[in-house]
Amino acid sequence: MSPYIIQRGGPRDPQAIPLATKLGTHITNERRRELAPDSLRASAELWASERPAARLRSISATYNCVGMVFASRRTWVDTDELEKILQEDGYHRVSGLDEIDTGDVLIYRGAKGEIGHIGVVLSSEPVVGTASWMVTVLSKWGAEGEYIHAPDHVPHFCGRPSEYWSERREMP
Amino acid sequence: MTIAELFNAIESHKMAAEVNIASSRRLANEIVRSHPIVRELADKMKKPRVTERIFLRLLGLTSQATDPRYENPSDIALLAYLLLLSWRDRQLALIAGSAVCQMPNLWWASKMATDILERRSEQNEMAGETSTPVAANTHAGDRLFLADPRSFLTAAAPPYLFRIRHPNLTQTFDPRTRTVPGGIRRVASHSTSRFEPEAAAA
Repeated sequence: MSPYIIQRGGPRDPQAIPLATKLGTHITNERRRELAPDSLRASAELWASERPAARLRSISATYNCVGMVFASRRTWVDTDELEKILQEDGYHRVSGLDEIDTGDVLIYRGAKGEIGHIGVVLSSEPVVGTASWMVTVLSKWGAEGEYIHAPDHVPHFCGRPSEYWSERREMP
Repeated sequence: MTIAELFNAIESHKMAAEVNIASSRRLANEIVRSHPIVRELADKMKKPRVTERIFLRLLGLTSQATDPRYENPSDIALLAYLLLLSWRDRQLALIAGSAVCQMPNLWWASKMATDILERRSEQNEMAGETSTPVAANTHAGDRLFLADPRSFLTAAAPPYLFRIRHPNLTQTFDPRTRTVPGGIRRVASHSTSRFEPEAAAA
């Protein structure tokens, strides 16, 4: 017989690491085993053809997008935990594209409004000719690669770029 | 596509790569649920024999040796087969879920298997945690031990024919006809994979 854990990812799950918000609330997480090398290679090849403008930075299955942003790539955190993290870690929504800065996070949402993905802003540069902003994002695509990409250059199921959030504090 | 081709497509690296971009259980299930190959196989499940082939295919995957250093490469395929079985045949899905729960180094498939099994659970009044009917006082972090159904499942020829024999039951269950013919039937163990014609008796 083999056991399965009730309420996986909780503080008593040996596969979870101690991870909490600023208010001390446990963040459900679970460490995922690495994918075999041929699986990782197949993944990189697939997305190189599907999203050629995205640059692969790193590839490992042991963490996901939320784990990259909020757990230093140590573990996997389901996107269901994001709203709690944003609230309890003091994040505020960025109101306009002109206010985006390096280190802010970009939330992606699906058709029904559910959070599907998150990335970190690497840069935000004004494009004078089109009066717009060129934003570059670093995000982890599930169990697959970390990619540097334009906000909308992600796999379809990650959702559409929805809103930017920041924890920045102004000089008092 | 033929059933064999659909199996190969579901078990391919490409399928796994398409599903593994998911960062949540909900999204992984959604991707599999809406995948054209899964939909095509689901459509073919209108024939009961296809359902049984999927079940046997899943059992076959559960007995394959894999590199223990890495995640089981059949994780996405098992997720897909569990979803398909849960749509069509609840009893087979439960047995399949129990078998999948025995496997190490799974990710999405083990979560789906847990979901399938825990739908039989009862709510714990005290904390809203779930428990199964056989372990009514479990709590978060506890371990739930499951019998390995592979120890009493048999594979017989033709491929669609098999018997489920539980050690505590004196009768066998025919999933094709949903009948209990009665009497004890001598069956081959799963490990020997010996075939038994349907008419064979103890």
